[in-house]
Amino acid sequence: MPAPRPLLRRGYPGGVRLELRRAFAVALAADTASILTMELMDNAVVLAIPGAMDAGLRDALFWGSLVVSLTVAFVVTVPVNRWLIARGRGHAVVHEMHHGPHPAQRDGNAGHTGHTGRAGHGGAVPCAVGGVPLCPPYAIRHRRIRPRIAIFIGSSWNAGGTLRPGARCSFCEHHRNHEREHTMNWWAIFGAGLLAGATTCAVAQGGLLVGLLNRQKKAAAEADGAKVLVTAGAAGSARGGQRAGARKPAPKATPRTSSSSTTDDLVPVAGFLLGKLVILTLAGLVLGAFGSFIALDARIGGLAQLVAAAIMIVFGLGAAGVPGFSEIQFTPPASWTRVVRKSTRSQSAFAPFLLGVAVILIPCGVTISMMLLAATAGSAVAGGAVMAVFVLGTAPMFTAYGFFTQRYVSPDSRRMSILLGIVVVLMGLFTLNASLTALASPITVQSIVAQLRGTPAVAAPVAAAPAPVNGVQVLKIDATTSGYSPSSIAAKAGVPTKVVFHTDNTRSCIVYTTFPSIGKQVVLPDSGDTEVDLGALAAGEIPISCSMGMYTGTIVVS
Amino acid sequence: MDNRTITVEIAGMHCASCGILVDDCLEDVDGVVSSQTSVKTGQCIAVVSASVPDADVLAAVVEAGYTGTILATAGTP
Repeated sequence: MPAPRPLLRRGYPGGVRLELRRAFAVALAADTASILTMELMDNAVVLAIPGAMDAGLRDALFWGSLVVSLTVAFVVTVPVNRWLIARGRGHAVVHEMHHGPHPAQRDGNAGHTGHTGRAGHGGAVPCAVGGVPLCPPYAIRHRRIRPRIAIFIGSSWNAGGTLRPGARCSFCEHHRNHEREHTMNWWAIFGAGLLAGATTCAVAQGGLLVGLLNRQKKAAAEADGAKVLVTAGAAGSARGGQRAGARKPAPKATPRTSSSSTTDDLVPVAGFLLGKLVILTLAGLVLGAFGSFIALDARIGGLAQLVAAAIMIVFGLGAAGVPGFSEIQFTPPASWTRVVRKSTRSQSAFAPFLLGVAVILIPCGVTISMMLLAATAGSAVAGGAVMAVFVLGTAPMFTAYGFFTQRYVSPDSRRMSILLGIVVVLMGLFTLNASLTALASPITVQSIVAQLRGTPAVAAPVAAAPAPVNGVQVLKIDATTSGYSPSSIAAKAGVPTKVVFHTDNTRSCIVYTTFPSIGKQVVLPDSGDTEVDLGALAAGEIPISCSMGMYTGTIVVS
Repeated sequence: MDNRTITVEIAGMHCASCGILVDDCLEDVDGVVSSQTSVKTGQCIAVVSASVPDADVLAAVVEAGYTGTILATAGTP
């Protein structure tokens, strides 16, 4: 269901939140007819094509029927959608939720031709969020539109219809900012994967894979009536090799004599890693989506981050082998363990892939920490990326140990385990600081650094308290792309207070402004004044920040 | 033939995969009927046929990449 979450996040014009029930009602009204038509046609065509239902993934009929059915369904659904939208129904219902009048009409943003006037179908152009145009890749990625509607957009966008050449999509800018912030993290995640590939559970998983392959070879040999002979030199013999040499130093890899044997050895390892990549990336997507939904409320999001950070630090210390922590482990239910054990005894050609999928059931502390990191990544895509980067990180060492050294017990895993533990603990601390910022804690890295430097974390207010008008003091703050101006403003305690945020072509996440300490959130338009009633304030500091904590400001009440 | 139950303390396990790997290696040994390893307690309870010596069980644990010590055996060797 594409619409409810964006609707919940965006709410009505003016920042009033949409109720859950209403959001679902809108989503239902907007998309039901369209989805129903598409699905009906799609399935009807597949049913009509003889043998299409029974075709497998390897059959041309499967893919051919899919292309034909989707094409037919698409052609039929287009007029349905156009008819609905022309009558103000269908996906147009959702568009009404987006900030009333079109930005081009409201503030003369000529770059975005908007929902009206393009080829007669409003749904063909991406929704403007915060009054700012979105580019199709963003709109598709965030499910603000469905991919098939995006086919329209793609053409109108390419023709320069949505964004004029050179115009910037505000949310791509927004994402670029975040991506820049997280660049260091990606390397840390990859590094954690790299170390985990040579230590912890990846080593044990390698052993499981090798056991599986050995059994398969044995069965194949028995089926051939040949003597059970597990040849050296194949990845599948790694544990066989170990069996002979127990924990003695790894034997040198036998030189590969033919490329086919190399391929034979690498295919199962690649299959296993692919299975892991697919399932953990999916898990990351789900966790990221769930986490970003939770974070809609800054305070709950902050608390969830705090819990995640604590667990990560505990598992990190455990991975490093700190006594008292290494005993803390996730114990999967016996039924989950049975699934994994069963998959190591499968004779299927897809067994390595399926084993890779199954190991999600027995995650080690480091993997769980990565899952928590994915959940706090801020979006489904970022969550999926965290897990994908982690799994890809495990690949080189996992392959190297299994393939080249013929065994899955790393020679010096102790030192690498400690390093891995440190990396995970650091990630936990990073998450902890983010949660403290989100929860408006007085103790954050920023405040400690400020204290160490001898400067107070919050400087004396830049702007003096305004004189009350009709008994109400009105604090005027500019929310610009570079932050809040003034960054701190004085206010008198006990006097009814209103804050007026002024935006002028503001294109950044500052439009999602929160008062974390009093749990107020407001969505600012790209240009205009937004009034927030705070009531009479008690003496103290009231932090202001964007929802991600990138921009900060303070009201100093005295 | 009578079966024996051997309890082995295993050092070096850090996650569920390790426990499964130990069971996997043990059950590959001829004469081992079943093996149940708990990573939490660090112990493995293996049911083996009377003909399997303790040394074979310990060898399988070592093969999996861990070290084991026999804690108890029940049944006639």
